[in-house]
Parts: sequence; C-alpha cells; structure tokens
Amino acid sequence: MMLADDSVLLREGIRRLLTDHGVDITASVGDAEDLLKELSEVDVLPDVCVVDVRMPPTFLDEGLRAALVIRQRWPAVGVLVLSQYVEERYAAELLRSRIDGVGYLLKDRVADVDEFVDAVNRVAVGGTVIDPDVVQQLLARAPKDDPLARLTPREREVLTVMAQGQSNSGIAATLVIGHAAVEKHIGNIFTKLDLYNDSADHRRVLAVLRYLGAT
Amino acid sequence: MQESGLFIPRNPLRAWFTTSWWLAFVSLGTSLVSGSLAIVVIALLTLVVVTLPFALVGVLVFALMIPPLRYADRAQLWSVKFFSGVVTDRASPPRAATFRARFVESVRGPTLWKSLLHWILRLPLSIAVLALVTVQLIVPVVFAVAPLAWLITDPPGSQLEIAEIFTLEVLVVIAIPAALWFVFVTPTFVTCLARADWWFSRSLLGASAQETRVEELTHSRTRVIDAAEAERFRIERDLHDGAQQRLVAVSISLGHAKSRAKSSDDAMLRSLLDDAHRETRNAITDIRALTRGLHPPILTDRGLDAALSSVAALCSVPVDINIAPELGGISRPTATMESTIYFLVSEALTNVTKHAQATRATVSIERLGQGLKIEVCDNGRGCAVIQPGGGLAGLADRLSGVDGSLHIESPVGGPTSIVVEVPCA
Repeated sequence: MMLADDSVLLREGIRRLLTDHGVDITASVGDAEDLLKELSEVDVLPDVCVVDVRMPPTFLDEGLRAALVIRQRWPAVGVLVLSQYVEERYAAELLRSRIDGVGYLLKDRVADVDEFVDAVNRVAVGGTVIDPDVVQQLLARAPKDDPLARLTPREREVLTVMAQGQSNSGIAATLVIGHAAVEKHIGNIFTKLDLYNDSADHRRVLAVLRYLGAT
Repeated sequence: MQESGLFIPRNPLRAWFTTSWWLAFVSLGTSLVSGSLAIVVIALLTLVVVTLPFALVGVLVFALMIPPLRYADRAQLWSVKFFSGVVTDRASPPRAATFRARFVESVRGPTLWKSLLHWILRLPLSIAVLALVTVQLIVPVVFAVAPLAWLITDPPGSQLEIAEIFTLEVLVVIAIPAALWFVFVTPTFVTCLARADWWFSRSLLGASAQETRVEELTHSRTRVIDAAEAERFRIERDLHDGAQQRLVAVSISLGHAKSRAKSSDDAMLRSLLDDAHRETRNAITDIRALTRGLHPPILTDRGLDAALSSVAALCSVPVDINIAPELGGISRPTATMESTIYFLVSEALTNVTKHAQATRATVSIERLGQGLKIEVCDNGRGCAVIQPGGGLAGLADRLSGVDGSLHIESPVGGPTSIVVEVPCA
C-alpha cells in the first residue's frame, strides 16, 4: 500500500496502525506529485493508495485530482481518499468514472481502527467504501415525495449502510440483524425503488448511488 | 497652484518658458471639441423636448442618451486630467442593477442634472474662451507690430482716414504697452483662463467632496471586508493544518491503543481509552463545525453550487437549489461575495429548519443586470421577522456591508420568501 498525507504526524499514525494490522506500506509521501512519481517508478503496483485531499502546494483538492489520475492510469490500484470534510460533490467526482476500488472517508474514521482496516482491505480488492456522512447528504437531498418515502425506517437504515459499500454480512454486523433479515430488506428496497438487484456489492452500490443522484 | 496642477511663475516673463502655458494653450484649443460635443447634447435635449408630447418617446430618448452622456463626462474629465495633471473622481454613477432602476436613480440624483447643466453652459463658455484666447494672442501682436507695418507699407500722408487718427506717434505709444501686455500678461492670462475652464468642468462633472468621501469609504469598507474574509480563510487553514490534524493524529493513536488494549484484562484502561477517544472525536467534530462556520473549503474549491448542496443536505426539509451555471464558471463572484451568499443561504435554511415547519424549500441564485438576486423560499407557517440580535438581523448587517438589500415576505400562515439583491460586477 502507498500513503500520501502532508502531515507527518498523521502519516506516521496511519502507517503504524496499518503495519500493526498486517498491511504492508511500500511508500509514504507528503504530496500528490511524489505519490504519482512513486507509482510510475515501482515494479510492483500497490493494491491501494490512501490519499489525503488537501495537500501542498495549493492545499485545495490535489489529493482528489491525484486519485482521479491514479484511477485513469493505473486502474488496478484502489484509491481510498481521506478528508477533513466530506462532500457529496467530491464523492460524485470520484465515483464518476468507475466505482470499484474506490473509497472516500472522513479522516477521523481512521480512528475506528477495525472499520478503517476493513475499508482499506475492501478498496484493495476492488470494493467501494463511502462515508456515512456522504450517504446522509445524498439521502437528505433526495426529494421527499419519491419512492424513498415508502421505505420503512429499517429499510432506510439498510439502504444507508448498503450505499456505504458494505456487503450483506457487513450490513448484518453493522445493524446487528440476521443475514436473512438483511436479504429480505434489500429485496424490498430494490422492489420499492424499482432497481435491478445485482449480486456484486459494488454494482449494487452503483445502482443505489445512481438512484440517489450521486453519479 | 498645486490645486490646479498649473504652475504660474511669479516672474510673468518666465511663464513663456513653462510647459504649463503651452498645455493651457492647447487645452483651450480642445474647447473646440467639447464645444461640438455640447452642440450634440443640446441637439439631443431639444429632440427630447420636441418628442415629449408623443407618449413616452421623449423619455425613451432621454433614457438612452444618459449612458453616452456619461462617456462624454468621462472624456471631458479625462482631458482635464491630461492637461492639468489633477485627478478628479467623477461623480458616482448609478449603481442599480437594471437599466430602468439606473434611469430612475439618475433622474433622482444630482449627477445627471449637473452634467446636463455643464453641457448646456459649455457651448457659450467654449465660444467665449476661444474668443478670449484669440483676442489675447492677436490683438496685442497687431498693435505691437503696427508701427513697423506703418513704416514699411505706406509713407506718411496715406489716403486712409484711419491714418489721420493713428499717426506713427500714436501707434508707437500704443505699441509699447501692447508688446508689454503680450510678453508679460498673455501667458498668465491664458493659463488663468484654462484654470477657470477646468474648474468649471471639474465642479460640475466631478464628484463633490462628500461624494469623494463616500467613494473612499466604500473602497476602504470593501478592503476591510475582503481582509476579514481573507483572515477567516487563513484561520480556517491554520486550524485545519494545525489543531485539527493533531487531534486527528491523537484520535488515530488512541484508536490504535484501544484496539491493542482490546485483549487486555485492565477494564479501567479500556474505559479510559474509550473516554479519551470519544472526547477527542467530539473535539474534532467541534473544530470541524467551527472551521466550516469560518470558511468552508469546498466554497473555494468548487463554488456556490457545491457548497450550498451540502448545506441543503443538513436542512430538515428537501431543498431545491437552482444556481445559474455561469456563476460557477465564467462569471464567478468574488470570494467575499460568495462567502456572503453562502452564509446568507445557510442562515436562511437554518431558520427554515428551526422555525418554519415547512415541507419544502427552494434556493435560487441568478444574475439580475449587474447584480445577483438570491431567493430563499419555504412553504412553512410564515411570520419570519427581523429581530434585533437574531439570525436575520445578522444577515441584514452582513449584506449592508456589500450594499445588498434584504426583503422578507412572510405572511401569517406562509409561505415565506427572502429576496436579496446584491451588486456584483
């Protein structure tokens, strides 16, 4: 894995944390340019890059731009973008091209160690991870008079977790309900929203995000 | 002398060798041009008066001649500046957003009428000035050289009657003061004439002392507001790069420690780590809310549409956002204006969440002439008023800093609409 963050403190923290959980960090750099240089020079591409959004020189959105470049030039490399603020607009830009092997998380989620390590692993194997806050923003923006209103509160919860890119077992664990219940809820959601239920997690996320108008 | 930028030397003879005098001379020559402009203006005014009986045609012609008239004013002031070297602020142009509103503002204010008065008086003034300059230059010279001409052209005893009065002696007696007048007085006289001419244009076309003061204050206010905005931006960045990063790092370490202590038997340790972790995260959330209230980074990165989308997401009711697309691209407002609009809409939507009991809200931002029109509506219970110290009062204050206006329409039972107009080039 490769890591890009301009704060040495954070970089070290994340590096220690991930190394401790068996993630092999091959490079740890301070800005987007160095990350892209590292990527073009290595023999073996990393499975995933963890990138901070705001980095030198402009401290605006270089991390996001670097992520888009990586998506295009090295499609096999997953990108997990971290940010102090999550914005559905950034998520939409990130998810526009392809939705597999992408993650977008609020920086403080890193502190929830197990979930963060899980997120890194999921992105590394081509999964999708979207911050709950982004999903909330999307859900809040969706017009109220549409089929979303017909979902039961439980189905809404399931939809929220599903949109974050969780698998069925992940949903079951998050909401502390059984597998069968999760499957039943998902079935209901897709019927009510008139969506095609795909078995692959990331395509399912895509369907939901499309529905919410994110991509 | 400083005041007009013209140097009149104490020794009148030296006036010939100053550039001031030549400039004054040429400047008065341009009276020909401004005199012609004055003829055009007077002709147009006559047209207005003549066409006035035909319904609104006269008014329309009048309205249409105002903008070109301002250009004529500017040209006149520019030429004054060019020759005298004195910069004169022109009288403030109307600021309203639409053509019609600008027309009304012009008609109400003194600027337009002073300008018209200038051009009407300009014609006789130009004629008088040109005549005086000509007389000053030609008459003394003619009298000064008359004795010479008398000697060269005609011997004594000419047929002309005039010669009987203007004998050589008389001519010589006149020629001496004429030559002295030309050498010592003419340049100073022409210079003074130019000064009077410039003074006339400046006092009618230029800004009054009060207007100049208002202009200065407006500029300094804009600078102060921009500086405050830049400061907020800087504080946000400092917090983001400093305290916020550190806290995140601490919380990551605590999370790490927590996950390592999971298998520990020390229940106290685990509970302490839990508390520390939770409090750190709360601190991060607090700082995030604070920095967002200072200056949301997405506003700089992606503009109003994106920034307001995430504000809308936090609103308790669905919000339709319609922002004219060009405001995100070619005609993006200034950072200060964007920030003002952002916080305006945020506050309005907070009010919708808190008080309106609405089920829908809409936000629209569009160009209106040379300004922006921002409208926030909801279908709630109405009764929104500006209370001193309240959110809306804060909005009105902030708006007045950018010359914006705020209108609230909120009858009992709703709907509420807040319409804001701000000038924005």
